[in-house]
Amino acid sequence: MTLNMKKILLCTLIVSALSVAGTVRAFDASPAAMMAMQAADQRANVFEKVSDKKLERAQSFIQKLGDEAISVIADPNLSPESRRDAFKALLTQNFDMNTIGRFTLGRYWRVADTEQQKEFLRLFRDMILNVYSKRFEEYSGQTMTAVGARYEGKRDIIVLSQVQSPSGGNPIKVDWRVRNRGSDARPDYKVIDVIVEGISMSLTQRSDFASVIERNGGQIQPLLVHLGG
Amino acid sequence: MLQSVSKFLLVTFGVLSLAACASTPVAYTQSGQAISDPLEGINRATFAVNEGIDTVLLEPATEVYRFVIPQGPRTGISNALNNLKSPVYFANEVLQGDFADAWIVLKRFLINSFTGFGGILDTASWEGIDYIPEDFGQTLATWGVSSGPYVVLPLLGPSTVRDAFGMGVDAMMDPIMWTLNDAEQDALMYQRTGLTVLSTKDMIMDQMNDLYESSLDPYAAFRSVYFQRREALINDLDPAQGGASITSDEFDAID
Repeated sequence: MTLNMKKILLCTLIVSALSVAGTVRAFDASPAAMMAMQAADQRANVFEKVSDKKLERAQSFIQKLGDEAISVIADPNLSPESRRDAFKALLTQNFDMNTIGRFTLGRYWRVADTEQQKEFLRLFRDMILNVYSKRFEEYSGQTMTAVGARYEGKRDIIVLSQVQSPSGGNPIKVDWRVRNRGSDARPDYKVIDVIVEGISMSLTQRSDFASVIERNGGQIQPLLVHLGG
Repeated sequence: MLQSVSKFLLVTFGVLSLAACASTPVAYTQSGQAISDPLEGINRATFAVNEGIDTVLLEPATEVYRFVIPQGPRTGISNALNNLKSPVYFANEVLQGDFADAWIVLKRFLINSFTGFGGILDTASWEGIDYIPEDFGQTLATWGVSSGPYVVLPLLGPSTVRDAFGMGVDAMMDPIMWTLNDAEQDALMYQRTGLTVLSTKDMIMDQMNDLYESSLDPYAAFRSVYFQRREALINDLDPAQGGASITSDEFDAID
């Protein structure tokens, strides 16, 4: 192949590539395609732009939490131990561990006596703090943006966020279930579930705990031993 | 290769008929769909074997893959493999009657194939056109077929009778596999499969290890995650499509 032919071939390739891309976009502008696109866009827009004050506050709570977490992780002046401590303080302050704990025990919450419930919540909190702080140690420059919010159930708000990794690719959808533990005038938001790409951390934890209890004849004590050991 | 796929389909169809005799549910998904696991004994054994294979074979292989190929090209490989699956995604969107999403799949395929160097660059996602993975298991779900019992497949891992059957159908409707099969390009076919395994493992290995380490009974945790993820995919990651959420009701009940 001569150099000229190569040039011509390359040009044809580029032109055809561009024209295909152009045709695709032109078709996009046609009325039929517009309707199809709108239907598809509705999926992406289940979370309308936040106009509601409560939703707005919950959303900025999550954005602030994300920003604070990243500033703790990215702070070069912190030693690994003090970073972990700062992180655990952030979690304790912003997550409602008792509600999460009660949910993860499911129907066995009622089976447990008061002593066991107390013991479970204590062990559960320690476990969550360890798991999450370990998870955040693997941080490698991701950014989190809260993109919307909606009401969920009778008393909660789900804040939708996207986590973008620096290496590119599709962002990961992370939803935060948030409950107001204060009043309407002085809201005190707490996270009670984190849902990553449709997978609820609390529900997964509950299946895990339920399995341990069921495989031990429906007893709570073996679960406490597992959590403590 | 096609013969073995047909056999696989026959076997899963046989098991599918057993789906009727499901036992009491062991857990629930977010919408309250019951998880049935009557084959738990066998499943746990297979899960353990898979975990062993993972540790001695798949994880070291993935570490080598990560060491040899930098992050950028690895993303490119994953993009290209996804792009090659577009015909199957497209067919499933059409079978589900979701023509809007079928158009998105087609558009992604055209844009990425032509302006993304054969799909190596995911140029469509730069324009905010996101990737929607579809398979025949999801198609069956939208047709109202329930998942059937949970099965842990040797090597392939968590699945259900419905989804395992769907996996076979997807393989049979893949035009690229047909082409390679007709051209007797078995080597290429196996290379594509091998690369898909490595690339997929590369994407999810860290999350899998994290789940394994953070759970008391990894078998139960993986089972829960599998059902939740499938439910999310069937609803195209739109919780509004999923309807009532049992998780929500139970959170509401906690003061």
